[in-house]
Amino acid sequence: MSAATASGAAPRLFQDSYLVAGASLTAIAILIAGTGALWTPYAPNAVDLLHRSQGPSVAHLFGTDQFGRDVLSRIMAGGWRSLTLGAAAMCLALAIGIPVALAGAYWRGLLDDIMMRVIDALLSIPSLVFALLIIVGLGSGHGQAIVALGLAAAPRFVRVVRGTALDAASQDYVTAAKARGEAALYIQYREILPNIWPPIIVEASIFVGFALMGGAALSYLGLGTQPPAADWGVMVRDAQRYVFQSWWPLIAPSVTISLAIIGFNLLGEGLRDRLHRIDGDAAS
Amino acid sequence: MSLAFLLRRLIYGVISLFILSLIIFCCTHLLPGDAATAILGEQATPEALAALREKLGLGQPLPAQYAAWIVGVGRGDFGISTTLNQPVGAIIRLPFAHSMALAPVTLLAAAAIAIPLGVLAALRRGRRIDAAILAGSYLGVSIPDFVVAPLLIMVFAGPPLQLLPSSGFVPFADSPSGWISHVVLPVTALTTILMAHLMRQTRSGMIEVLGSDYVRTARLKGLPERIVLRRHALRNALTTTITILALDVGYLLGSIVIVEEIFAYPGLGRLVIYAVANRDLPLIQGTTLVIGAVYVAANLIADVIHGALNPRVGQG
Repeated sequence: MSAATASGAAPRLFQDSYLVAGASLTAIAILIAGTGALWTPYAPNAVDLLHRSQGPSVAHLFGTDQFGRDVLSRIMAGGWRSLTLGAAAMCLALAIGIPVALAGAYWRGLLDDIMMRVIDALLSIPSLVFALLIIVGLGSGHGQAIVALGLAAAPRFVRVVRGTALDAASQDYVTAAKARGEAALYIQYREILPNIWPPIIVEASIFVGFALMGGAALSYLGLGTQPPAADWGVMVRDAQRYVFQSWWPLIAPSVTISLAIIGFNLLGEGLRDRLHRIDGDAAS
Repeated sequence: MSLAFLLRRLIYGVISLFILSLIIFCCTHLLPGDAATAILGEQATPEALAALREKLGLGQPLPAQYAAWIVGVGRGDFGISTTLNQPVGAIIRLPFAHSMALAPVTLLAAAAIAIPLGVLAALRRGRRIDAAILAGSYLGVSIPDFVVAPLLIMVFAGPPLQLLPSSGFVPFADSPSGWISHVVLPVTALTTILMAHLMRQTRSGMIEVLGSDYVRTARLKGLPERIVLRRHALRNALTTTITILALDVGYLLGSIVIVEEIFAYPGLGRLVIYAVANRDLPLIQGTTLVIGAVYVAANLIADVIHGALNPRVGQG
């Protein structure tokens, strides 16, 4: 960071360090969560009343919570639940966003106009409130939270993908494909989509961080993952009630989820900077 | 600013609200199974179910139900809450006022801190100060509201400081100092979150303006850098910032839901959570529609200010 004093090459180094930091944090989060799915030091829900609210020790690296449950084990097991939620919600949002956006950008016309007005209206409520509305219909739970967050994020993806697809649709290669008489769906998915993947990946990476936050928020509000199952949001919620007795069970999941979100954000931003530079180099 | 521009913006806002009301209605009425059973539970007596269905008007076809609801809303009648047995409009009024007390203070505080820092970062782009501000805003954007708020409680409400109450609310009329002490932490939590976002947006908006043709022209004219910044760059960046501020109202409304719940602050956000947790359909519809309306109104105001500041936009 000390090198980032002059313009020119230094900021590039600085930006790449974002990418490296993001990729590392993301990799660590996935590693912890992946391990947590297979193995944890203690059973994540095992109550141990003799060792309640303890600080970090050799036996319990991150201490224990108010029920004597091992905080590290719960972070690992909860990490799997939180990360799969983020990834699944992203897939759902993409599965809805991409076809709708491609169709809109390719055909345009009245249907596209109506669609964009609906998207605008959907974007006029906070996505958490939109997710809450969907939870009303579906009920609360881990799977329901995935669907709610994925659906709530779909409008944003339509916006982003449609924007880049519109640019792509006016390019020569699309005109050429149309002149060759290619089918509309072939042009959308084989010509346009491969060319607009980079911005989609950037947006998707940032959204995973956002979905992690949203999913944990729903759990925090008691509408996502249901206790006693561990989830980073549930852990923060549980620990907050006993924060004046012991703050360790609050700090550990708080720091973990923040680092994971920072990781996905930095990864997305770093990738975006990289892409801009590649585009810039190609243009100049 | 032309009247046509104003009218068109107004119509867009109304259309947005109309579509929003349709979406809210669909979400609350496409429950798997029967809404009355969902509210009362499986053990409810048939008489109670029938009475509730009657009350909610569930016997009618959906379009008729929607029409009845939206006509009522137009007259200020949001229906009767199923759990509190009071008109939704009356229930919402006070929490709405409580939330609206938080929002402007937060917006002002966030703008006062974030805009100068964002501009500074853009002017010193790539330097150490920019890196620090950018890193701070990354941190702020990435740390969830439900982490910031408990940490604030831990530090300021817990031992040894115990400066402020950890949660709750005291009406301003009862005790102004009590009101302030209960509002400080929620506002701080909301400001921290909003500030980071606003700082980042201001920085990129300013960078865009600095790279624009008219700034380059002003520089090529040989104007001193100071004048270029003050007369050309800052003025135009301000327009962008106002738009960003309005967009951030949506961001703020989302955070308010969680922050109010954490601090047990009796506002609109907490009411939404209550309504969802208790499946109070009329209350859910009313609260979410009001939140949507606030956001649409904020954007409308931003559009009008934008149009007034930038004649090209105002004519379009």
